[in-house]
Amino acid sequence: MIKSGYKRLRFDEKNITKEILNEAGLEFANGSQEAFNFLYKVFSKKVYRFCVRMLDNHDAAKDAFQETFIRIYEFRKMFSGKNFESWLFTIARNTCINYIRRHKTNTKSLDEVEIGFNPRRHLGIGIKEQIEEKLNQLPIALKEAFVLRDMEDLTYEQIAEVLEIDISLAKVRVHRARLKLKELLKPLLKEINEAT
Amino acid sequence: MKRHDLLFRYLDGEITRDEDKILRELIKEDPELGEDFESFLEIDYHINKSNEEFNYPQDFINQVGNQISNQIAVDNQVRQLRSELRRKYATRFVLVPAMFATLFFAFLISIQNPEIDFLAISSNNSDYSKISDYSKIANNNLNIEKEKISLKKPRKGVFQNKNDLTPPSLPSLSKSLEIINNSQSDNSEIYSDNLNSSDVTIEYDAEQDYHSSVDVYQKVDKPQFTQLEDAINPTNFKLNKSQLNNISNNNLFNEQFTVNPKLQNINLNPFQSSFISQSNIQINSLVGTDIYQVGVSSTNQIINSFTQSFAAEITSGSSLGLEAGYIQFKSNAKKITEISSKPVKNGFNGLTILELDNNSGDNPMLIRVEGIQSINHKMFWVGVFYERNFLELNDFNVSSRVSFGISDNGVISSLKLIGKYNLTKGIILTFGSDAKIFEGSFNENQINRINSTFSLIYGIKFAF
Repeated sequence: MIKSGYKRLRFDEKNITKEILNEAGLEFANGSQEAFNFLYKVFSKKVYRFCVRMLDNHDAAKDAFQETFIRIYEFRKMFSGKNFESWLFTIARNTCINYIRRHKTNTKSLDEVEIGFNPRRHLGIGIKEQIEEKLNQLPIALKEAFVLRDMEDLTYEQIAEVLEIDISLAKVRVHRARLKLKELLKPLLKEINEAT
Repeated sequence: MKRHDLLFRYLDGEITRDEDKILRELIKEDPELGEDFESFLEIDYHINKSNEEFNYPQDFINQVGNQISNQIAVDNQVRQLRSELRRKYATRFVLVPAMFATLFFAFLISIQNPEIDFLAISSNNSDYSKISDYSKIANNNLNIEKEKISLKKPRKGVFQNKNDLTPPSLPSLSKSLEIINNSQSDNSEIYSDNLNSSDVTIEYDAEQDYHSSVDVYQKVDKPQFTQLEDAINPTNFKLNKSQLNNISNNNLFNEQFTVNPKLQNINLNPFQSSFISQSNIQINSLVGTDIYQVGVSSTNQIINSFTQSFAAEITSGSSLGLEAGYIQFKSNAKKITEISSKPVKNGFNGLTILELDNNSGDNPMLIRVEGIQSINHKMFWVGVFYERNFLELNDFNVSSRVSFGISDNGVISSLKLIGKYNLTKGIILTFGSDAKIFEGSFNENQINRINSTFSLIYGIKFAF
């Protein structure tokens, strides 16, 4: 392990290895403010994005985001040193799921539930927004797998850790989500292709 | 292999060169797969673009980060301060008990006064000559002339007057033997061959004042005095306790000593004191298990304690001593962490407040995060106690013990009710209850408060 590698590192995501993150995670667990600042810089935006996509609501995402980092701070000593990113996203995901459970108003199952109200949903501004909108039509089990893989670039192994499932099941979920999203976006993509 | 598997491997960046060729051929053969491939690439492209152009509430993110970062800094300062205090108090916790223990044992020693204690006589006949006097004589090889001068006058406590048949204490007795040995009287001849001429020789005019006392020893058979002589090392005057006891138990010896009723009071127990009786030093080890506690706001608590005490019986049934021990708290306490957009005043017990000065009003909600705080706290303490028996029944007695002391958290006081059963001589089984009230803090905020516990205690006590 590289000792205090993150301290020598100029902040550049390309140079950040899993080992450096784990080392910083362990130092953070021991109370290092510097390590926290480094990890926060690396992951704060990713976690925020994840929360927004999971909850489809910026205010709810802010709450979940805060809660995630408070939990990380509170439970820092529970970090085993294995995979900081997986540990972080596990907490973020659980926080979001808890938030959904606390705030759901209908009787749909968790797999079917759609979160919040997004006025942009019906505007059809562009493909980015359409992707975000269609993402919310996916069952949450597929959505979270898709977000973690294709949006936050976690490995299947990390996804399996975060979702507490087998790697093969993680792959299946990601593949299903991709296919389903493609189906949902098919008319729009066809339209774009025809236009170009 | 499913239709899209290679395609997904391509998207995941896991595809090999051979697989890539196969995929290209498949796409050529299957236009629908080609369309899917393009759709996936399009979605992937827009997702990446979306990530790049994502609208982050940067101020909010910075605030959260700063608050937590500041909280870590505060925690570190508190931790550092706590460790400094611990180090500081740790030194005191070694020094203070050591000082207490030193003073306590100095007190015991002073009341025992080893010079009186050694061959002390309960009959308050403290005027007997002390063994140390003779040791000095022996060690300094004082010559006969000096002793002649010093012993020409009757020595206090050896023989007070002519008519007093009170025999001397053993040192005096040994002295008498020497006197006999060195005197020119006929009686001395009896023993002269048993005494080493290089021994301390003290000339004494036995006939002048104390002839009658010497007569006492004339009646004693020679072997008895040989034993006595053996018991007293002639070169340094050290007494052999077992030999002395043998002498004191000898009938012939005792017979001579019963000439005067005062002799019966002579006690040759070398550890006897006029203040402390024979079974007065008590060492008591107590282990405590918690029954009930008040004031520690946590759940699933386990409180164990250990107490070690040293005491001396000051009067019959009451003793004074020192006790030291530790209390261990283990629990999982519920902890709530809050973040509020509005400044909140000082946190209170069990709650950490992270203040977010968010004036934008985007996040007015108060976030409460419930968690579990693991507590494993040890508290060391030391104090003085007074114990008094108030019920005695054959081998069983009950006492109460009140103690007051200091711990690494503040003051501590306890009241114990102890039942004692005498298992065998000097070994006593103890059991009872212990109510403690103490100052302490067992949460992350380290806010001191008064706590109390009620515990079962059991242990063993040794009395010497």
